[in-house]
Order: sequence, then C-alpha cells, then structure tokens
Amino acid sequence: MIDGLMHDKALSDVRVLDISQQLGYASKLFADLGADVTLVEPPGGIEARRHAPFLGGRRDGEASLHFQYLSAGKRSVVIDLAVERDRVLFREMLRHADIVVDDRLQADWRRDGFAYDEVASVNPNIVWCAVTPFGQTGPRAQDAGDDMVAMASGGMAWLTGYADRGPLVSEGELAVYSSAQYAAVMGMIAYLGREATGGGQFIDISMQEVVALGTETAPQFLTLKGVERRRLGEDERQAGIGIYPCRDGYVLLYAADSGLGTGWSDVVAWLRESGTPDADSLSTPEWFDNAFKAKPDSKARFRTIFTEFARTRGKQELFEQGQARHIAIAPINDSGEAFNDAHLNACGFFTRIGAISSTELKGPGAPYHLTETPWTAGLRAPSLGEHTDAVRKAMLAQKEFA
Amino acid sequence: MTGKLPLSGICVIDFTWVGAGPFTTKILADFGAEVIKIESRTRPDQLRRAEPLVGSRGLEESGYFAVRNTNKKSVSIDMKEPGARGLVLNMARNADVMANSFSPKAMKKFGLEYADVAAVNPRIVFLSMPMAGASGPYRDYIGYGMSIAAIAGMFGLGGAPGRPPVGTGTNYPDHLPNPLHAAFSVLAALAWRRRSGKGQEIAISQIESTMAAFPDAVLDYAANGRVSRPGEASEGYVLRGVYPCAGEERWCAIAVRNGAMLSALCQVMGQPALASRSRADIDEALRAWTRSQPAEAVERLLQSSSIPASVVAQPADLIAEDGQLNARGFWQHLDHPVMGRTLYHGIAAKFSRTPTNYRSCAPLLGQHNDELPAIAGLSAEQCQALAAQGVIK
Repeated sequence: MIDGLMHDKALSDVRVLDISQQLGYASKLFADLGADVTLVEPPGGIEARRHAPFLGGRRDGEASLHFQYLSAGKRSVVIDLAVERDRVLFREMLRHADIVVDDRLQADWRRDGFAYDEVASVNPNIVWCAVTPFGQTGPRAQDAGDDMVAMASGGMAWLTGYADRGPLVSEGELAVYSSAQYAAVMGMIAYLGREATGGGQFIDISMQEVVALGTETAPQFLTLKGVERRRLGEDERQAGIGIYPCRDGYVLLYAADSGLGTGWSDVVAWLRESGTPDADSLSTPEWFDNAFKAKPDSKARFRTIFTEFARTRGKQELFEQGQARHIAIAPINDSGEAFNDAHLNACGFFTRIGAISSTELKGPGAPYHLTETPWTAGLRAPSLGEHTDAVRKAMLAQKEFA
Repeated sequence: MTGKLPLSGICVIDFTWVGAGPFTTKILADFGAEVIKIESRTRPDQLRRAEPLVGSRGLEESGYFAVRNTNKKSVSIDMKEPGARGLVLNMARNADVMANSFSPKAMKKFGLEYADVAAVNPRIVFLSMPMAGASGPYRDYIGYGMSIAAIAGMFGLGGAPGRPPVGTGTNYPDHLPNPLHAAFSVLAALAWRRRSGKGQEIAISQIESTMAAFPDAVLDYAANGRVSRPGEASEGYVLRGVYPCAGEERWCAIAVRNGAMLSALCQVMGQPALASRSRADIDEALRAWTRSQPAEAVERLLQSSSIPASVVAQPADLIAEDGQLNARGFWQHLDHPVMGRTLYHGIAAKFSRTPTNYRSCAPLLGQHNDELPAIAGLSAEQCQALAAQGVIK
C-alpha cells in the first residue's frame, strides 16, 4: 500500500481504480473490506459529487450525502487527460491496479489512448469492469442511458405500477446500484480467477441485462405458459398475497399453504381468534387452492375480512403479532420508519458514514458481517484531488525503483 | 478463451432455498464452482413448486427453480435423520464454502452451526443469510423478497402520490441486492483465506443488505429529517417520465437532464419554441407527440439526438429475436430431462477470457446422489447404509 500501512483486512492487498461517474457503490464494496481505492476524477469532479440528497438546504459539491456514503475511505486523484503529465500518472496508476471500475465504451477510451488492450499490454493482470447502459456490443451499444432507461429497457418498469396508469420506475436508482454491485462481484470473480484463467480480463457489463435479471419469471411465464406478466398495482396476486390497509398505513402479507408460501391457516386462525366477522368462512377446502384464491371474488372476500381486522391495528403491531404466529407479514415502512426500526437499531446497523465539515453523518452500515475481517466504513470522503500530489509522488518513486 | 473457469476448484455445500440464497450460489456455480445443493423429498426447495410450472405440481417442472439453479448438483439428504449431520460434516471436510438462508435456529437444530463445521474444516467460509440476521428482535422472522423490500423502505417508494405503494412488482431484493452482496462477501473471504489460510463466518441480514444498496432516502432522513415520498425521483432532471405511445400499452421512458437536452428534444419534436415554455406545457406537448407514433420510433428519434430514451420492454420485447439482449447472446436455452428445452436468463456480463455459457440445467432432486461417496469421502457401502437408514433418499 502507498501509505505503508498493512491492515489485515479481507482485501487489503487489492488496488482498485474507480474511473466511473456513478458506480461508486462498486468500489465502496472493495473499500469497506480494506482495498486501496482511488477515485480518478476529471478536473470538475465526478457526477456523484453533485448527486442528491444533500445536507441541509445546500446544493453544492461539498454537501452531497450520496457522495459521502459512496466515497468515505477512498482517495481522490484528478486526472486531466489533455495534460501529458496527468496521462503519465494515469498510465502508471493503471500499471499498478488490480481492478478498474469504468462506465465508458472502449471506443471512447481508445480515442483517449487508454483502451483495455493497450493497458493490458503493460499490466496483463488488470481486471477491467466496464458498465454501460447496453453493453459494448449490439445494435444499442451507442444508446444514451441512465437509471430510468435501464429499468425500461431491462423490463422492470413494465412490471411496476398501477393497472389504470402507465408503467413506473421505482425509486432509489435500483438499476445503478445493482449494476455497481454486479460489477464488483464480476470483478472479484475475475480477480480471484487470475491464476486459473491465466491473467486479467475485460468484463463488459450491460445495465439492461443486469435489470433483466430482476424480471423474476416474466420471460419464463411467457415462454412456458404463454402468460404475460404485467403490473398488478394494488391488486393482490391472490387472496393472502398482497398489500392491505391498516390503521396507520399498509402491511404486506404473503400467506399461502400450497405452492410458494406458508401460513394461510395461521392467518385464518389469527382472524378467528380475534373475533373477526366471517373468519370461519376462509377455512373451507377451496381456500387451499391457489387458482380459487386468484379469482377476483375470492380476493375481494378475503380483502373485506382482513381489512376489517387490520383497520384498527397498526402495521408494527400486525408485523410482530403475525410473525409470532410464523406468518410472513411485514410493515410497509417509509425511510423514517426504516431508520427508526427497533430491530435495525438493536443490531447497530446504522453507523457513522462520513462527515461534511463538522457534521457527522449517519446511514446504512455493513451489508454483511465477516467475523475475522470486519466491514468498516471510511472516515470521510476525499475532497476533489486531495491525494493527487501524494499519489503522483508515490507512483514516481515506484517507477524509479522499477 | 481458456478452458479453466475462474472459480474452478471451489466446492460449495448449499443449504440455501427459494430466492436470494440460490441466486448467490448460482453465481458461484456459473463461474466454475462445484455447488452441491442439499434438499430432501420430504422438504424440497419450495421453489420447485413455484409457478411458472410446465406440468401439474411435480418437483421438476418449475421455470422459477430452473433459472435459479443452473450448473448445480443436487443430493437428497433428510436432515431430520440422525445420520444426516455426520454425512454433511464429511461433505464439509473438503468443501470451501457452506451456505444457508434459514433462520438461525434451523442450522442449530441440524447441529451445523459455524463452530461445528469449523471443527472439521477450519478453512470453511460459512455463509448464513436469513431475512433478519443472526440476532435482534426479528431474528426468527420470516419473509420473501417483497417483505424485505417493505421493511427496508424500498416497497414504499414504488408508486404514485396519493395511491397505495406498489413496490417494484417483484421480489427485487432476492434477484439483485442480496445475492450480489452475499456473493461478494464469500469471494472476499476466499481472497483473504488465500493469504491467511483461515476460513470465517459470514452473517448477513437480508434487510440490512437491501438497505445498504438503497441508501439515499435513509441518508436524507438521517441528516435532514426528510421523509421521501414516491414521485419525487425527478430531482436532477428537467423532465423525466414514461410516456404513452401509439398502440395498446406501448410506452417510452424519457429522461432529460439539462437545458441542452431539452432544446434537442423540442427540435426533434419539430417545436423548437417549446423549449422556453413551462415544464407542464412541455410535458403535455411531449405526451401528445409520443402518442402519435410507435414507441420504437420515439426511442430512435430521441436517441439520434443522444437523449436517454427507451421503449418500456414487455417480456416479448425482452426476448425478441432482433433485440439487443439476443444480439449479445444474453438469453440461453438448456435441455432439461422433464421440462425440455427452455429459456434461461443469462449472465449480464461478457468476459474476454472466460466463457459465460451455462454447462448444465437445474438438477433433478437427488440427481447426484451417486457422487456422494466421492463428495463425502465415504465408501459406496457406507453410502448404501446411509440410504438404507433413510438419510440419503
């Protein structure tokens, strides 16, 4: 490592260069397990620095909570590809890197003189993960994209929304985060496999394809059964599998006794024991048949009975009482409710994720707990170009030794 | 391309079921790991009975199970039998990874917690990924991907203002966030083992894992006390939405990020003066314009001016012969002894040196029982005795 410190973290011998605008979550996964991660930024900084949400009412590049979350613990080096001395530095950084996280087409890099094969000729062990909207090949390779385009072209938007309105794109930039995660996993696979496969690789990742992996069984419903899955909106899949209103919002109930799911009988017992009117009518044999439960009349009957029960109860109360009966019921939380959730707080999930000036920031913590090589969040995100001089010095020193 | 796959030589004992777990081990299997799935006739993976089914409720007919279990082996072991624990420990002796997605009490009941397995194989990477993690008030709670999305605040952000939330319409956390985190953690533990010689335990809460890759709304709340609501995602855009096109249920998603793109859009529409009007006016004019032509034409016209746009792909569009996904060879077809030749989601990446075509379809229940002597280091007679006891069946 450049600073001479050798931490015994899972990935402390891995060097990652993140040369992307928006895939910081990929390199965050490496950084939080101890890898040496450097953001390579253009003179104006990467887009993630200007990405919402921001602290307070600010809108400036220093106040992005998103950037802090993604970048704490990383270094920042500014590279201006129009400047020869920066090109020398960038080439040297690539020569020493294990993994590159990138979001451009190779044709663009070739124009700039840094295409994968040119870099691999001096560093054959480099694993170069490139995530683009449609991948590097195919008729749409040149198309412009973003989160929404990926969700639309990958088939997720079609499955999301209300029956009486158009398709929707669910919020949270799911396509961007999932593609970043996918890049990290593919990069780790190629990195671990360098001996088996004989060196590094170029990995061409398509956001459209990543999103298509999320379409569940929609393509198989069509090809195996000729059934086109589409957005259901508020309508439940079948009686007992859907969202139902309660006193303070909605709960998601997932109860069946045949096929996928358990707990239908437990739901009926729960309703019966609480004195809900007509609960008994749900235990006749036809209620154990999924086709019957998918009929509109069946769904409406169950909805009436369950809503009568739930409308006087809160979602958290329904969650805890239902789970005590081994029923897969869950509250539909907003971001505040999720942040204040008793279980997540008892587990110490939310943690310090960085700081903006003197304001300490809190956010999601470890996605996994490795007992011997724990996950740790970085202290804070780097300011733009904070490490340019130090990295230049270190790289030139290495170059002289080489 | 070289013959050897990146994860060749890695052996995974796989107790994961249903969604996120099997997709985690599928990723390992697809890149060359030997993944041995443990189920039994009395307690098969629930997904084997999940729609879409080609027949009538057999265990070998689920399209859902098939796409989640490519390249794996299956052995049928009844974990309720007393001899099962010893057999699994023998399998674990030479394995690299053991994975489960049960709630913590199940592995305890089997006598197969990390300490039990590490006692015979200290190099094992032991992954547990229950819904709610190893501790805390919800540790024994159960749920599916949608339940996890609900608790994590993801489901509630899918929808429109004033309407009940609808989530993504799928069990999203099962397909991407959770298996990808789980796979990354296992791979990182394998990388560390190569240096240290030591295995370790990995505990995942699928709720926590989902939230880590869905941070922005929670960051906003934690710092600013602001609760995000559906319909606010347009921050950072001049115009963004799904627009109706000519024909039944044809739509095009359009995202306009800045003034230059907006001018280009108005040019394409043949209404350059529109760019100076209000957002609502532009939105209305755009809607009228998209409605008058096929979604494909809207997409191509906007893309020719570098405006992010795409037809909202229906399942038939996704698998279309002339589509982008087929051009890249994303879809794969495999022959299955019961289901016949069917369609599988492929791998969302092309590797320059490693093939990404599947080697085998999902295994029949117990299809690889014959390999148990080799896997567990037992004699054929010992395995026959275990079969006679009902441990292997």
